[in-house]
Amino acid sequence: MTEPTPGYPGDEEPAEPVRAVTAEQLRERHGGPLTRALVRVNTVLHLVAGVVMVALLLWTVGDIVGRAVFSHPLRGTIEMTELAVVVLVYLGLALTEDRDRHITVDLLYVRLGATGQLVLRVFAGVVAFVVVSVMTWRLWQYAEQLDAGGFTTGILRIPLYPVALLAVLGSSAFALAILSKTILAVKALAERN
Amino acid sequence: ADDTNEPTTDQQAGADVDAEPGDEPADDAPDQPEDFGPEVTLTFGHPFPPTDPIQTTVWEPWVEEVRDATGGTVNIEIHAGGALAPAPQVYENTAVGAQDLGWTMPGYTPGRFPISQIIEAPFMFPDAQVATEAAWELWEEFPAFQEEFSDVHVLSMWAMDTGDLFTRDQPVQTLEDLAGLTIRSPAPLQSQALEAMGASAVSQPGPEIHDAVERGVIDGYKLANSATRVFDLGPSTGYRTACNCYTGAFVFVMSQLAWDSLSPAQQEALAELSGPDLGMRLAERHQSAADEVEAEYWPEHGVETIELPDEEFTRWRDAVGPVFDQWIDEREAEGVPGQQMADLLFDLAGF
Amino acid sequence: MAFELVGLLGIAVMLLLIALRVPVAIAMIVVAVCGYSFIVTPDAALARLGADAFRGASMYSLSVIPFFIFMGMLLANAGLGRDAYLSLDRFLWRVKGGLAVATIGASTMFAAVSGSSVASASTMSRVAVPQMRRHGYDDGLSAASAAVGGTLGALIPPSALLVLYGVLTQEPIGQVLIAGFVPGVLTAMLLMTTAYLLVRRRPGLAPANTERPGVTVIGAIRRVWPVPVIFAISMGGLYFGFFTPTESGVAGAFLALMYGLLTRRLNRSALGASVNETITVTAQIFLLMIAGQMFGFFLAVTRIPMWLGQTVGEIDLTPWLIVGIIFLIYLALGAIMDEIAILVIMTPMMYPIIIDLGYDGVWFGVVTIMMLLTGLLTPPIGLITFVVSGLTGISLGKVFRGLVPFWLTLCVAIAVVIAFPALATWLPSAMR
Ligand code: NA
Ligand code: NA
Repeated sequence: MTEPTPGYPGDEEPAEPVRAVTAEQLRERHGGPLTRALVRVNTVLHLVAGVVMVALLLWTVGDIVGRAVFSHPLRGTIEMTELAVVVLVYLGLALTEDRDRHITVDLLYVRLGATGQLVLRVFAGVVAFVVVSVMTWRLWQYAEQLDAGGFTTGILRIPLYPVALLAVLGSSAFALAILSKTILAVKALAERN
Repeated sequence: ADDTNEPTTDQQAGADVDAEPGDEPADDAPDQPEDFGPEVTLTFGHPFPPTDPIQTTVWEPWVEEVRDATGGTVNIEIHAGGALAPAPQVYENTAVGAQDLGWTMPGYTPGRFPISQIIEAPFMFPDAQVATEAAWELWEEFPAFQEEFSDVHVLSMWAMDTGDLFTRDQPVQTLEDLAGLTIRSPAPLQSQALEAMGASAVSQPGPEIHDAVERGVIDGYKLANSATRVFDLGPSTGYRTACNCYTGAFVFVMSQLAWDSLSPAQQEALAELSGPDLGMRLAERHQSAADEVEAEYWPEHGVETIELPDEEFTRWRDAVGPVFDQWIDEREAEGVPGQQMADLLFDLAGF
Repeated sequence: MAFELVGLLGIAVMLLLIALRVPVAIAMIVVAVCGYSFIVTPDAALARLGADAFRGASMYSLSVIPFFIFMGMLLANAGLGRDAYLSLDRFLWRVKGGLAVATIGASTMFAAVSGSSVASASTMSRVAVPQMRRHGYDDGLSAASAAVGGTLGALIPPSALLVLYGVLTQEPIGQVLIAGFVPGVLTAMLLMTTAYLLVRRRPGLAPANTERPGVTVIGAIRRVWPVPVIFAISMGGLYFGFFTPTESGVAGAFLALMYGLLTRRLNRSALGASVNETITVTAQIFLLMIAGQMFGFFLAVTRIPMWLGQTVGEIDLTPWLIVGIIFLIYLALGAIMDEIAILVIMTPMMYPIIIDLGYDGVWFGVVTIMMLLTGLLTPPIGLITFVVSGLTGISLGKVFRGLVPFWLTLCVAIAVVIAFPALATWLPSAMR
C-alpha cells in the first residue's frame, strides 16, 4: 500500500526539479479567512472521523474479548462496524481534498508550467465539484428514502438515515473543499494574466 | 408508505429507456404480431449465484416463455450474482427503475418490510407450498401487506423450503446448546427469534454466509435447506438441526415504470406467466431442490442431521412466543391488523 | 449504439479525465453515472447514485482497511523499521553484500506488517542507505535495496490491496490475504539472493565490511520482537479462523497501539499523526472503492466483462500468452497510474477472463498484486523510486538502473507463481 506523497522530492539528474503548484501554496497566496475557516471545519470533521475509528477499534476489541473470554460477543458488532466505517470515511473526505491527497495521475500535470497546472486545477475542480455536489444531493435524497422506508440495522434496529445524514455532511464539506480550491486556482490564474 | 414512492416521481423518462434497445436490429422474431407493440429488453438483477438451480431451472426457461408469449417482443437479460446491485439494494433499485426486474428477499432490508416478516414465521410451515399458499391468502386478505410493496409492480411472491439451523463445529441438540453461538439470521424477525432462543444473531444476506462461516465470523446459520447447496456450504457445515426454523420469503418485482412502458398485450402475457402460479412453481422447485440436497448433498459432505424430539421442539417454539407477541403489538401500534394477520396465518399453518 | 461500444467509449473518456488530473475516483463516477444514464436512463442513474455512495462504504469486508492502515502507521511511527534493519544487520554483517541483504530483508519484514511500501522505503533510505554509503557500497545498489523490499508489503499480509481485490471479485478475503504469504516470502528470498549474487559477481559494488555492529544479539531480539509477534497473532488468528479479517486488523492495530504506548515509543503527537494519516488514506481508498463499485455496475450493463470473457475464450490463445498480455497491460498502466487505481479499474474486466479460462480466483489475486508491484519501480512514475531518490539524494536514473536486476527478479517470481499456482493456493486451501 502506498500513499501518494504531496509533490515529488527533487531529482538532480534531469537538472530541472519538478515544480508543482500545491494546494498549500494556493491557500497561502490567495486564500482569505473563509478558506482558512473551511479548512478548520474540515480538520474538526477529520478529528471526529479519527475518534470514530478509535472507538470502533476499542468496540471490536471488546467484542473479541467478550467472545473469547466470556463467550458473549457484543450485540450487533458487524452492523455497528459497517455504519462506523461510513461515518469515518465520509468525514475524512474533505481534509483529504484540502491536502490534495485524493488519488490523481500527475503525469501530465507536473510537465506543465504554472499556468497549465492552474488550468488543469480549474478544469478538474469544476468536474469534481459538479460530481460531488450531485452525489451529495442524491445522498440527501437517499437519507430521506431511508427515513421514510424505516430502514434499520438487523439486530440493534438502529435507524440508517442519521448515518446517511452524516455522509451528507461529509460529502458537502468535500464539495466545498473542492470549490474553495478551484476558486483559489481561478484567482491565481487571473493574477497571472 | 407513500413516501417510498418518492424516488419514482423523478423517474418520468423510464418509459423510453426500455424502448431504446428495441431500436437495435431485432434478431429472432421473424413474424412479430403487430399488437404486442415495440420490442423491449428488460434487465433482471438478483444477488444469487448464476449457478443457483432456480436460475437455471426456472428463470432461464421462464425468460424463453416470456419471449414466446409476447411474440418475441419482450427480452429479458438476467444479471446474476449482484452484478446490478448488492443484495440489500435490489429492491430499491427496482423501485427507482435502475433495473427493471428484481428477485430478492424482503428480509435483506431490515425495517423496510415489517409486515412481510410474518410469512417467515418460525416453526410454522411444513413445506414451501403450504407457506406460499398462506402468503398469497394473506396478500389477498390484507391491503396493508400489499401496501408495503406499493412502489413496485409485484410479479410474484413465494416461500422457500423450510430453513433449518446449521452449525460448523458444535451440534445443537437443545436450546441450551445455542447459548454463546453466533448465528447468521436472514431477517429481522429471525434475529429476534434467535436472540429469544439464547444465540447471538448476525444479520446477513445469503451470499455472505459462505465467507462468514469459513472464517468463523459465525458459528452457524439459519438457512433454507436447498440454499446450503446454492451457497456451497456443505464443506463448512458439520451439523444440521432439523427444527423447521422458518420459511424464507422471496419477492419478484418489476419497476412500475418498466411495467407501464409495456403494451397491454405484453402486460397481459407477462401477467399470465407470473402471480401465484409462478410462485407455486418456484416453491415446488425449491422443495424438490431441498429433497435433492437432503438425499445427496449433505451425505456427500458429511453433514449430520439432528432430529429434534417433540418436547424439545415445543420448548423452542415456546421460547419464541414473545417474538410473535412483539410483532403483533408493533403492527397494531402502526394501525396494521397484526392480530388478525397472525391468527389467519396460524390457522393456515394448522397451528 | 451497441452497449459494449458505450462501455469502451466510457473507458476512453475516463482515461482522458484522469490524464487531465481529475481525481481517479471522480473520473470513474462521471463515467459510471453518464454511462448508466445513456444505457438505462438518467433518472435511474441518479436514483441509484445516493444508495451506491452509501452502500459502497458500508461493507463489512472493507472495514478491515482502516485497521490495517492504522497498524502500519503505528508501527512506522514507533520506529520499528529502523529496528528491523539494525537487527538484521547484526546477523548479516559478515556476509559480503550483507548490508544490502539486510536492507531488503528488513524492509520486507517491516513493509509486511506495516503494509506501507512508502514508509518502508523512506525508513530504509534514512537508516540503511547512509550506512551502506559509508561502507563504500555502490549508490545504485544501496538505493535499489532500500526501494525494492518495501514493495512486498502489499503482497505479504496484512495488505489493503489484497483486501480490495477480494472485495472487487467476491473472493473470500481471508483466503486472498493468506495466499499472498508464500509468494511474498519466496520473492523476498529471491531478491536477497539477487543482491548476494550481484555482489559475488561484481565485488566492487560492496566492499567487505569489517565493522561489527554495536547491537548485541539479545539487543537485536529485544528491538525487533514485536514485528513477528504482532504478525503471528494477527495473521495466525486469521489463518486459524479465530479472527475475521477485520478482527485480525483490529488485533494488529490494538497490539501495535499498546506496544507503542507501553514502551513510550509513541507520544501523543505520533499517535495523533497516525490517526490523522489513517483517516486520510482510508478516505482516499474508500472513495476509489465506492467509485469502483459504481463503475462495476456500469460495466455490467455494458456487458463488457461478459463480452471480454467470451472473446478471449474464442480467440483461443494459450493461457500463458493471455496472462502475459494482461501483465503487459498492467505494466503499461503501472507506468502512469497508482496501483490502487489500476486494481479498481482493471479487476472487474480481467477477473472474468481469468475465471473463464479456468484459473483460480485467489491465485489471480496474488498474481495481480505482484504485477502491480513491478509498476511501483518502473519509470516514469515509480513512486517508491521518487521517495528513495528524494531522501537519499541519489539520482533517479541511478535508482532506476540499480533496480533493473531486482525488477527482473520480480518478473521471475511472477513467472514462478504463474507456473506453480500451488505456491499461492496451497496455504489458503489448508485454512480452517
Ligand atoms: Na503487508
Ligand atoms: Na510505475
